[in-house]
Amino acid sequence: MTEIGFSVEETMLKDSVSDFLSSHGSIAQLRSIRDGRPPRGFDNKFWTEAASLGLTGVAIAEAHGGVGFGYIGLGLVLEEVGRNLTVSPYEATVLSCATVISHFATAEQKEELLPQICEGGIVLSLAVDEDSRFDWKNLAVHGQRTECGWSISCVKKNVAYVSGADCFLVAVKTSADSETRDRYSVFMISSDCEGVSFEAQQSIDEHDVGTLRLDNVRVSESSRIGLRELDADEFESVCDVIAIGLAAEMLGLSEEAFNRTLAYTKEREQFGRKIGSFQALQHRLAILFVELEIARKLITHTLRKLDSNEGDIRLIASVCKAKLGAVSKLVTNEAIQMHGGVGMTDEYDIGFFIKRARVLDHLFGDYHFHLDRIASLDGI
Amino acid sequence: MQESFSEKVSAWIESNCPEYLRHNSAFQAKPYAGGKKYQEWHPDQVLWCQRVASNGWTVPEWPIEYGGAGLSAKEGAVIRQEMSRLGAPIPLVGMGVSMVGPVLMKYGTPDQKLYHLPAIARGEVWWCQGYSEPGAGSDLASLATRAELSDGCYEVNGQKVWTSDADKADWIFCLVRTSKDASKHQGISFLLFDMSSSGVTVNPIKLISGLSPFCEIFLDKVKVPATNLLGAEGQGWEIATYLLTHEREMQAGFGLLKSEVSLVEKARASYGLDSNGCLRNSALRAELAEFRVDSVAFDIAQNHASLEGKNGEGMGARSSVYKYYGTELNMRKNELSIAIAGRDGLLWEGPSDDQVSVSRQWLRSKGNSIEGGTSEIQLNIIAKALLELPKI
Repeated sequence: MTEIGFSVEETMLKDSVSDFLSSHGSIAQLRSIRDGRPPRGFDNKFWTEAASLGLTGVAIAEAHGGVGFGYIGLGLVLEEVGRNLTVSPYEATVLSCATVISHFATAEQKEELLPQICEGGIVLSLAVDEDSRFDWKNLAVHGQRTECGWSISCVKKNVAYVSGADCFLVAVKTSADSETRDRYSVFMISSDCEGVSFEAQQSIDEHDVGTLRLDNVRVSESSRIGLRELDADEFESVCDVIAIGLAAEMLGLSEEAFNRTLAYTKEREQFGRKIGSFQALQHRLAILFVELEIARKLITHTLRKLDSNEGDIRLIASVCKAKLGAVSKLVTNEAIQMHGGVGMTDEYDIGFFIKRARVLDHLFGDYHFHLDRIASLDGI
Repeated sequence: MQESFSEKVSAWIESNCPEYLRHNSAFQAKPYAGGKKYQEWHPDQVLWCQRVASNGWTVPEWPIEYGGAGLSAKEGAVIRQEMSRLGAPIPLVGMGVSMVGPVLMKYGTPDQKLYHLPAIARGEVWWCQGYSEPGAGSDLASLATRAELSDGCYEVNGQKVWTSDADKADWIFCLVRTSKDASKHQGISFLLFDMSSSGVTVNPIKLISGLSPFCEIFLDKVKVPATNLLGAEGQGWEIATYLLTHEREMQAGFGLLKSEVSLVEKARASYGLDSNGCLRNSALRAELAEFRVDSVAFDIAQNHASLEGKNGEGMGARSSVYKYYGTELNMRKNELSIAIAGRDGLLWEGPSDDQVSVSRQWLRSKGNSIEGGTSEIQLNIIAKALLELPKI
């Protein structure tokens, strides 16, 4: 594997994932989920097939039943998920939860959970937000110790696949001290646990989402991932990894929106010529190309940096999420504009890209969140 | 094998590079370009170049018979890396080594190569580039400087503009029109001549930022031997195109990463922090963070792209991506510098003598998106060559 470019194995992975998702997990599937409203919010047959192809275990170690492709592999899959606007619990289970588990779980917990993720036998969702925005530092303190473990009462918002998840990894702030720093715990809570209820909402990207209510939910200590509290830095670092993965998905999404738009301008004729021959559009398309070229190299570099496990990822994670937030916003807006009237129709597919792009932007810190963080990291 | 070569190189540098030059930022800022006409170099710069040239290391990858050392690209890289690591300045820069050398090797006759290349390698000739004209900027192919052949000699009449260091240069490589009958591009030829020829007049151009190396050149019945034609008549555009892409790759280096950390430091010093540790101007704080995102991303992307370019045959049209973005980024950086400096930044001179003032840098930076191919031209190239968008 070289720093620049991709190895033969990586290219093969990308091609096989691309083939599978373009035929089974693309916009046709999005429409059918939107119109059919499956009870769990996703197509279970698709999920099982994705797992059998190794997609859910792509970054999980072979010892736990995974493919061991690392973050570069996960990034490649996420890109294709973005490109195809795949509607599934992939991000929730494989990017968010598997990452939390890989980082913090005990050996026993990993043994129990990771193989299930690889087999596609479990759908997990990470619940963090308590408000409309991602704001992990300002979560309220929850969780009370009991004789047998914990009692948790809280309301979590923006929980992905709230209707269909088997289990929730609920991240709560369990202690705040003006002397020491805030500390966090992640509890694994089954969806059928007593005291768990939810309210689904309809998000514009057609991914199932909603509010999760925990009302005096009692869990044992063994349900706490890692059997311990995590300090703020640890919690933040896993949020950074997830943010980078989301940025990879936003890259694939943006490239597809751009490619479709470019193709459209080469087809559509007005005033006796292809609209792509007008210089104003040529320049705007060239600018999108420039941004995507830079974003692509940024993401590839960052995924490899994650795999090398060297150095501080805080700045680069925020740069990735902010940059892809800006680029995806620009590309998806231009995509509609350059399609003209048909870009505004539901019949055309191009409108789906902006919807998913904005939801992705708001996951794990939007553009403004990360700009603010970058300024803080720079000491201003 | 590799290790002993770099050891050999570093040992040689240690014993041959004059002490005064080493780790001396003044020489990094004004690298040696050689030449006969310009005499204001520091004697150590001249000496260092001579020593390096005697090893063939000013142009290590060039063939030995042309003044190089016949080394591989890897070995050339080792030499440059060792010099940089040991704080030795680049021994020789200029259009001679970077532009004229490569085109002579690609298009020159054996006699032309033998006449020019060794002299370039020794730093004896300062070359300048005669391309743009008052009526031919972005539309360079419409150039009108005429070269008419008679009795084995071209007579050159016309005007060139934006020629860097024409007042210091010894020789010029010049795009001229040798045929009015051929199409716009096909009538262009590539001519080399001595700047001390009779009929050549040079005037410096003053910019909005003050003095600059740019000049205009008036050519009045200048006589150039026909043997100074590079390539064939009508091949000039092909040669120039080859060089233009090459130039663009070099220019994309604008907008270096290190500077924005100092932008943040300047902002902090100028505005101070509030009780939350935040800059006392939230709007500027946000703009600095936005700039940081783009400059980190660009720096990473450019490093990757130039490595890719080195593995292949250069970046080709893709270099336009980096030229466009790098120059736009540098201009944003200068806008932020001016914003942070306040009224002090709007004086002609800065606080310290050896630094170009913030105001001059900012004004000069307005040219970044114009020189070396305007941003609009870069976008045209991307649209045509990379996106394959249709013509009108």
